[in-house]
Amino acid sequence: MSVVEIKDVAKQFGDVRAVDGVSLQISTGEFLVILGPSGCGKTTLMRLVAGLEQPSHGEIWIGDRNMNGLPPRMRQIAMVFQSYALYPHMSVYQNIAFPLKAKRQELSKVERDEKVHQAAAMVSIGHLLSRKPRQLSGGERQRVAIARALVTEPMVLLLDEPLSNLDAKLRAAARDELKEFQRRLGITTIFVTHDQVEAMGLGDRIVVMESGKVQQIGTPQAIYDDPDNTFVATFLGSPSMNLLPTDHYELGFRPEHFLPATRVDGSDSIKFTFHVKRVEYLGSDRLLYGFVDGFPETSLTLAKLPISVDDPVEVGSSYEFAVRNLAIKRFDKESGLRWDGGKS
Amino acid sequence: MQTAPSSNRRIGLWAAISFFVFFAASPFLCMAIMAFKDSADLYRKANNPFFYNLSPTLEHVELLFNDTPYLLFIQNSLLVGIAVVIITLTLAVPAAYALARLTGRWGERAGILIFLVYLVPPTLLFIPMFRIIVALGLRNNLLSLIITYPTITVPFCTWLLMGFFKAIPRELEEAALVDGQHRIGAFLRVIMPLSLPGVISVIVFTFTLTLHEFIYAMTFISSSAQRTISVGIPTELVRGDVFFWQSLLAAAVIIAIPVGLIYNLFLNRLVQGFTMGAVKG
Repeated sequence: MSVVEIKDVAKQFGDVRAVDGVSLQISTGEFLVILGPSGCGKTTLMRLVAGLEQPSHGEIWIGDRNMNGLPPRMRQIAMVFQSYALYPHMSVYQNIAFPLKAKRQELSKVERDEKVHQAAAMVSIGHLLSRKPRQLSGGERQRVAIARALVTEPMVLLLDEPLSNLDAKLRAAARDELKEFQRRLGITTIFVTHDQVEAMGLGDRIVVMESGKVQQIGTPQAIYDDPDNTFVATFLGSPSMNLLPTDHYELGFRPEHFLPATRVDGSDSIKFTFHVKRVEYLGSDRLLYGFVDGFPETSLTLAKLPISVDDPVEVGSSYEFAVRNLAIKRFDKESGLRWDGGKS
Repeated sequence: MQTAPSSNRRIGLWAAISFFVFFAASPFLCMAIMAFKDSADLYRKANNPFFYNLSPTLEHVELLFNDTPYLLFIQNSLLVGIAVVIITLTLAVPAAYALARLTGRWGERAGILIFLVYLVPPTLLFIPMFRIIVALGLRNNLLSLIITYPTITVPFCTWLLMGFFKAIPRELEEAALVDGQHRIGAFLRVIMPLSLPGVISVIVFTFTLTLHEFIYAMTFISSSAQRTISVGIPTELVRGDVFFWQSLLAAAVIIAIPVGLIYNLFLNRLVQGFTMGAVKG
């Protein structure tokens, strides 16, 4: 059953169409990630769900109610902001109790106190309740923000790049914790990010957005393996997918599928002569930069060889490389859309 | 050896602080000393003005309280001051918030325009203002001051508060909206507590202005019973070319010290880095 339904929603700011005809359904307990480059409209879409913006067109349903025109407080949502937006003049306890006081006025003081302690314990910040936000580290602030969001037991949890302010090491731990947490509570979550690793790691499904439009919706694997268009193909994956122009279409394959021909099952593959111009040694992988015969030298082609593929490679030499047919995608040259049975 | 430079630095620091404290406090000290001086002591040039060469006297303070309506002046000043502070806050807070948040690009321009109004000096305005006060039938009425002072305080305070409101991250307000508040609730529970230093600055600025404003108070009020301190004291204690110096200084210092102490209570609030830790940092 879907908890959130976004029906053909658009949002116009002056001349800019920040969100352009987006339709989505999010089902109970799902972890949905909205992924896209900055300015693609992903945060605006989340703000529309939150009620911080009103759509110029279309409808947003949460539960079985049309939310159009309703302010944020009337929607059963909670939100963690990118900056966490903790109230600096309140203690951690007061921060967590704040939404309870406003939204759950039927609770007695004792019940409220209990809920605050439960929420704090859930994210292991029980010992910080009397501190002020400025006395906390980035990771602790993030937990307080999550506790504050969860304390009212919202129907939908909205997370706006909550990991982007953490350092790399903390981010990996926080990502893990967040996912574990969401699974345990089974809370429907919408998570906005521009980081594809976060998106792939966290999302049950990913919505890839660009210029206000949904480019593709699917599981992380589907999005990665079966991109609907060249935008999705090149936005996900690092390094991104090789795209080689032919007369009729663009040929796409991922660098990790582009291997020495001896390593690829010959019967069902396409062979290329690969001229290596540069080699980057990255520890677990080798990145080969070059171009392939039959295509202009300007269309840079990459190969990503895992450490297990230890074939010697010399800069300036040419090798026989191959890609399995299954790993090859074809995109229309004009529209960028998939040619050969992409999902949509 | 290690401690020598640091103790030298401390001594230097304390010397500098003591100098500035003395510099700032010396007018009050002089006023306080002279308020209790015997006239024979004060007017003799040979006497050291900073000491009591003759024994101090309460005579002039008694004159201030018994022969002038000093307490009435204080009462009038307080009445006008409090009323003007309330009017200023009621008008400037919503105006500044609206200009800072809700009107976008025009908000800034309107803010500058409002500030420009503040730059028109009262010395240019008091004659036309007087005509208006007369037309309203408010001459010799404290209301005349209560309605004209906000013309000075509201533009300045609006402009001042705009800066404070703009410095508060919008996300805090949005978080409050998501956390179940109305816009007004978010404003009162989140924005206002964080703008407290600004609100206190407004109160201090406005109250100080009403205490020392002279031209309007002089022009609009002529009966002794309706005067405020700034006009009442000089008109009562400068009679012809006779200055009742000790009483004048007593009048000034008696009002200045409590006001100074009250402002001092706010000082920490004024300088506190209040929004620290609100957002990432």
